[in-house]
Amino acid sequence: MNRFFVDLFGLQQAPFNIASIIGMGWVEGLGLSSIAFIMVVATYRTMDPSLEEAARVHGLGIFRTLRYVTLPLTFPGVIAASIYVFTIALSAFEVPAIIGMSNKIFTFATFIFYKIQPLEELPSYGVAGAVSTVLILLALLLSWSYFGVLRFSHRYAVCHRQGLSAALDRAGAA
Amino acid sequence: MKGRWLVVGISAAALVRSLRSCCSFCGWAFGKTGQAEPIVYTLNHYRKIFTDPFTYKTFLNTVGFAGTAMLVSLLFAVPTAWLVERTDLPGKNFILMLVTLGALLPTFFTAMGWVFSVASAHRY
Repeated sequence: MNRFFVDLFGLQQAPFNIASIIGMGWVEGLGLSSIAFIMVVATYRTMDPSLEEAARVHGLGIFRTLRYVTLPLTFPGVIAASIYVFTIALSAFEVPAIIGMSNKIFTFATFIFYKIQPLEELPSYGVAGAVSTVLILLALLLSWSYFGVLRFSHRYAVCHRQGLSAALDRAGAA
Repeated sequence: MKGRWLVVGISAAALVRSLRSCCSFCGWAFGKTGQAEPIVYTLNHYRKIFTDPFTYKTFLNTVGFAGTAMLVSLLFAVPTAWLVERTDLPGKNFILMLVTLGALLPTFFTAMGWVFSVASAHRY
């Protein structure tokens, strides 16, 4: 892909570099987007669509309805999905190991692995254990905030009629 | 009733497994032992990691990596979820199937795919 763009535009340097924190995050984020999607889609499914319909009836366009009605109502679901994805990414190993380690970019997961199975020196289980406990503490903090978001999600609850069925917007109408 | 006990049993097994791992890590973190020596409890490992600038660099790398992953996943997940749930987009079932398949695909394959398709800036 890099060679294609370099040849096409005559660039001096390759445009994409996944051997960086942003590049690794991009690859991990694409992998985790399916989990985030499943969580967010459940939020949309349980949300009362009549509020969006009311906004549309009162003259708001798609984007203003999204800004003032849809996004605020899905806020707890999106925040919960963000915290969940962040926690999983914090302990992710495959992407940092495959892309990062060969370029000497370490995250906590690969750092622990490197301390247990170093290439040159003796294994340092103590340091690996200490870093692991820091990671566990971070995960506990994030889990606590995740459940905190879920606990306060009732503030965004809406009393609605039985049986939700949204009037669908025409895709591409905006 | 049986179902409830099954859930409790599975949860308890998962909890025991997690606690066992946590205890092992704490043992490594606080214990210091040599060959044929009794275990001595120490905070030296923490002193070592908190005085090493590499730890802070690794921490920043981890937070940056996780933050980017979170933003990228939301960038794709939120608009796609809205399109699937709130519009008459054709092929919704196909999108749902693709997303489910994406969740089943091991990250290892995705990472290898990206390594082969977009090699690093110095090796294009």
